[in-house]
Amino acid sequence: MARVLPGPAKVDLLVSNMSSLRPEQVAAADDWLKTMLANHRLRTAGNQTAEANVNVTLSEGVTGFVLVAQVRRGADEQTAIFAVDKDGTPGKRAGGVALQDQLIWEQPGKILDFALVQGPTGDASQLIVLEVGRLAFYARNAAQWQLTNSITIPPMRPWLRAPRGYIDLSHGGAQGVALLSGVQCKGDFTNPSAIECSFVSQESAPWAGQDAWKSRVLESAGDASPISLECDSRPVALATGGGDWTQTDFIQGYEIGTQKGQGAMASGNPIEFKGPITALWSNGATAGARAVMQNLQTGNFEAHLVTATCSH
Amino acid sequence: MSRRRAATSLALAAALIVAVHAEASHRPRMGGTLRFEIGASVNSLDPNAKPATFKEALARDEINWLLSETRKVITENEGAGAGGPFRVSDWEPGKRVVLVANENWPQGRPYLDSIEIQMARSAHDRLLDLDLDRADIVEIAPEEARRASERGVHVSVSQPDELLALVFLPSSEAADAEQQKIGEAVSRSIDRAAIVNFILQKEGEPAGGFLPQWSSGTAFLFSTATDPVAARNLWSEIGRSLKITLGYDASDSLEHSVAERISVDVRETGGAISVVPDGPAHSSKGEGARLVRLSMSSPNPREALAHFANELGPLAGAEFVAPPVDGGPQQIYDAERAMVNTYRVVPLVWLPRAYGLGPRVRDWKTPGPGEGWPFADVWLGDMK
Amino acid sequence: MTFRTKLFVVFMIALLSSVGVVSVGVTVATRRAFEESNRSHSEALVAQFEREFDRHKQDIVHRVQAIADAEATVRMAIDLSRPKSDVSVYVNDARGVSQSHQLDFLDFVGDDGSIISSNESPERFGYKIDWLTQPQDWAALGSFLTKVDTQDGPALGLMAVSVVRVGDKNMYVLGGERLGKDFLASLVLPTGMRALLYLNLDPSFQPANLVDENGPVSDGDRLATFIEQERQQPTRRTFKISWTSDAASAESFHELPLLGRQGELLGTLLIGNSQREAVLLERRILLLAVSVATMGLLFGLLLSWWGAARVTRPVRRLAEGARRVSEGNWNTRVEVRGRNEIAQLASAFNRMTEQLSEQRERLVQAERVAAWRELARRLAHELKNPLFPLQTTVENLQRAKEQSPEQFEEVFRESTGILLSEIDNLKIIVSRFSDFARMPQPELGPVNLNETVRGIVKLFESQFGAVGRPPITPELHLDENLPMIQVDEALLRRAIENLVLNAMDAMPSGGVLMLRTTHQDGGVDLEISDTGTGLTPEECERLFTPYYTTKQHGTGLGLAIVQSVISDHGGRISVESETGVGTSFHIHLPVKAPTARGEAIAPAPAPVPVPVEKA
Repeated sequence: MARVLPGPAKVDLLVSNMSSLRPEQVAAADDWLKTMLANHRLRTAGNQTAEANVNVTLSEGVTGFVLVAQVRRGADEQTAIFAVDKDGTPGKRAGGVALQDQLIWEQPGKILDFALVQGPTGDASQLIVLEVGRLAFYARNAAQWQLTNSITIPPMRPWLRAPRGYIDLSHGGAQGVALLSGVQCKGDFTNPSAIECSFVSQESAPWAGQDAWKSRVLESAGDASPISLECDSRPVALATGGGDWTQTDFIQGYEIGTQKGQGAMASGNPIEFKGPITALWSNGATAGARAVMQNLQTGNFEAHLVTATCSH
Repeated sequence: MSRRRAATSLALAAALIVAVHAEASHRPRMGGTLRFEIGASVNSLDPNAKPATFKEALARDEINWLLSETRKVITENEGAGAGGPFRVSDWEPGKRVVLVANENWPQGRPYLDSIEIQMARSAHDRLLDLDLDRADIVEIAPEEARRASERGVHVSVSQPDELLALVFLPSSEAADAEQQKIGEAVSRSIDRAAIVNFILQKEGEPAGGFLPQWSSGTAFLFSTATDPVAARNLWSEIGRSLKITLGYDASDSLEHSVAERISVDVRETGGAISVVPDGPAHSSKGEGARLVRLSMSSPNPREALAHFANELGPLAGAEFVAPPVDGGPQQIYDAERAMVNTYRVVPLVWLPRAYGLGPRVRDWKTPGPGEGWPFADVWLGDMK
Repeated sequence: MTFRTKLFVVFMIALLSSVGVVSVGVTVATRRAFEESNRSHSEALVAQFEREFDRHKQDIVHRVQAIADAEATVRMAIDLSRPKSDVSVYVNDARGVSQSHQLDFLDFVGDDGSIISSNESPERFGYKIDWLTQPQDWAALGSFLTKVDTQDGPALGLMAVSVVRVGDKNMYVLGGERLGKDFLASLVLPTGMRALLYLNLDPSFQPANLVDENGPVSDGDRLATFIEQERQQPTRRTFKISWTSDAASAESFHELPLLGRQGELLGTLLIGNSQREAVLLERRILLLAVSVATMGLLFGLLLSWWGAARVTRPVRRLAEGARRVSEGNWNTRVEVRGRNEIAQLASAFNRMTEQLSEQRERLVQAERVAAWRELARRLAHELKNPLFPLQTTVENLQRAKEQSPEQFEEVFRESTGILLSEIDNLKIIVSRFSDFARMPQPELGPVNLNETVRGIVKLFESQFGAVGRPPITPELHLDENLPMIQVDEALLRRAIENLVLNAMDAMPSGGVLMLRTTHQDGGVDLEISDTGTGLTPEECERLFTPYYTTKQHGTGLGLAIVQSVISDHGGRISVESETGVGTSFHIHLPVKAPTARGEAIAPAPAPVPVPVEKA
């Protein structure tokens, strides 16, 4: 760029994106460009008259990203094209993490989280659904889940408008924990009558930590959850899209760069959902996550199990 | 349980059942004859034979790929090798070829026992055969893909990797400068967006250069907008009364429609083009042109551009220089820009390849640039 | 030209004129009647065609309206009225709809005038038809003519527009039929009529744009002038054209301008009406008329000829009678019939010839008497000359006997000498008279006149240069190519000798005697000229009269005999003379003399009556 434009000068910079880079990545590229221009004594003109117009287009080809700079000074126009290595910037690597989705449960009422308890045969024998103010227990009856028990979770104060919940069966079903905003229910989830609920502080909620982790590693505006999987020695995380709850969503696999400065790199093809993902939790030791989605067409809440594998 | 929840449970159960069955039927099954219909007519599988049309050349290469061990065009030395996934069992030039599975293919015997390829079927007949279950996979003209999909046909569409271009035939009488102006005037007259939206029914992309955006990432630098004012000025500069003759493949309705539209666009800006099926063979005074369809040889932009330069240069009588082997995006762009600026070849639109799939077809992956028909991986399941 | 011929010609002229006037009148009247009939017929057919055309236009309006009212069209309009609607899905709709409604042209056009779908120009999607969006009551306008761009070039269309309104957006349905050979083929025209259509789509006349139901018209450039007139000033007009030199090839045309919405001339319809039948019928009638006229003329000719003959017969006979009279047959009479002018003329003629005969009788008698008197006088005169010396001599003898008997012997001898001489003279005179009285019939034989002339000149040679007289120089100009003539050589020699002698007598002071022979007019001419004293005109008149002479001596019969000889040979003799210069005798003799003796004054035969037709 500096070869094209000798400084000092005021330039009108316009950055546009034609690639698969996300908006935040584009913004980062914009900042980087301005920094580079400043380093070469070229400043953005703002409201002042510019001596040159610089249109930078972030494009993408099959071999990688392409940065196209069109510099116009008067009637003279020059075009410079630079290849950008995909490893150096947030990008997508084809192949990579392969995701599979399985619909477990669907209901009209809001689901905060769900869990499957493995039976003696290894198949899921019990389904636990955490709702706003209730824990529901289902047993398999032939090919269907049938409600066997439910526990009312009394709120200490009116529920938050966007309550979050989490079921932790990492220590087994007999020592399960269900967390809502400020409420914790512990006990033998195979024997719901023995479960007791109490009030707890918000700081111990697992999503706080997850959010912190997410903002540190992934700049995604949606939910994200590391999972128990490594591809090419890189930890894998799953993350949703950044849209709101009126939009459809997706879950994308990411490989977290192990070297300094490397962020998370989208890996593999995302799974599309027909509504927003309202909750995404790592599914413990399995290479997957639990996702709760509200289907915009039916209005129902769906419990999905997303499993990930490494595909190259 | 509420009625709604019960219904949801039922739906969930049904979905689970289907999912279980899908899981079971998701495993490839050996056997069966796949019936495949294409529009081109291949009269010879000899790679040295001169095909009548580009479409015939494409189809011939596709068939040869299936017969070739290395998935490259058959050469004379390959005769004694293991061959490709299929071998020719029956051959009626121009009409039909039957390929049977090569039991000894090193990469594993294909799932299909045989493929019966019907050639020279019209677009209408192909879709009809698919509807009536007389064919499993049919080529669909890109402009028909949308309509076919609306009719319920399972349509698989590739990325646009076939270039439709207008090539000015070599002429010894037209000065280079004037030829360039003629080409530029024609190029600026053409409304590519209208061709994509209306004729192609949005299956395709306007082409300003020789590489699609998904390949090079720089296609947007080549303008596809129509510029009637500039075109009119160029016609005025040329001065003399021109009668450009534009030939197209008479068996290709898409080329016919595009040629007619180009004729209208050029006429609106002050030029004159007459459309001639299957003509002309040569040009005098720089007034002969033809429509040409050429597939990308590779998704790699450098390889693809080199292929276009090698194919289109002699056709247009122009010295097209391929980008250097180790060239980066700038070199590729510069080479592409140089080719475009001669205006000997005017890129028009990028076309995808579209196929209609019958209910039995499994694991069909529409081939990309440089890839052949994936019959080695296709298998036939039960009717869905 | 004879009177009969003149009369016949007059009759014929009168007849021809009458027939001609009637024929021309009939022809003109017939032709006008036919033209009027044709014109009425053509106008009726043109009116019928115009009704058919209007019905056609209405039909197109209905069909286009039906398309606009169709559910599919309404759905299309509703869909396109939505913001960001996808126009491209409808790009091929026009073709199917136009086929099902049997329209050649069909366009679906959006609110802004952009073509959504076009049957005739499927590639023109997106381009605008600006005039469609201008404020116009399309329903009231009905169908109209307009130029349509097609893939094959510009065409002429009979179009109609229907508007589908959804909310505040319009969608236009523009449909119609192509005006061309198929349209012309759909028209039902009677035999002998045809329709041509000129598509006015180019700046100048193009023969290929003139079509009939089979396509471009051959010889279309023959109509160029009329079509060009129409292009300059569009109006209804009629004209006639002959395709070949044959009048039956004529065709009359009604020219109807086909105007577009804004009054521009888009085409010209030519309704042609072959004149062949009319011309052939007219010809048949004319042929019939000519045949009748010819037969009439022939009949008239015969009648005129017979009439003229009848009318002129008495005149002819009158003329014949006059001819006979002129030939000398003064006893000719013509028959008188009736009391008309001709009869009167015949009567007068008869009276005239009667009088002429009588007068001629009297004249002949008088001439005879005069001739006898003349002969007697001459005879008396001739005889008196020798008689006087006879008398004197005898008186001398008597006197001598009486008075001088001694001289009587001498006087007797002298006197007897004189008596014998005078008796010889008397014998000569009597011989001449006798010769004239009994001119012998010529005995013909082939004679070379030149030889005869040379012989005569040789005979008189000695006399030409006789001592004591001035010399006479003979000049001979003889045509050596003279044919032989059939004459009596002796008689001819005699006649020529007589003329030579007369010439010598006329040149007492000498001179030149010229003899010339020439071949002329189937005969030979002999000229004998002298340079003597010449003759007066009165003398020339009487020269050949018997007993007329200018000489002191002579019987006056010589030239009469010469004339008689020449006349007997069928020839003629004439004289030219000028006093003081000389005299020339011209004799013409035929090569063959007539078999009978030449005309002469003979006793009149009995009169032959000539009948005269009653006038």
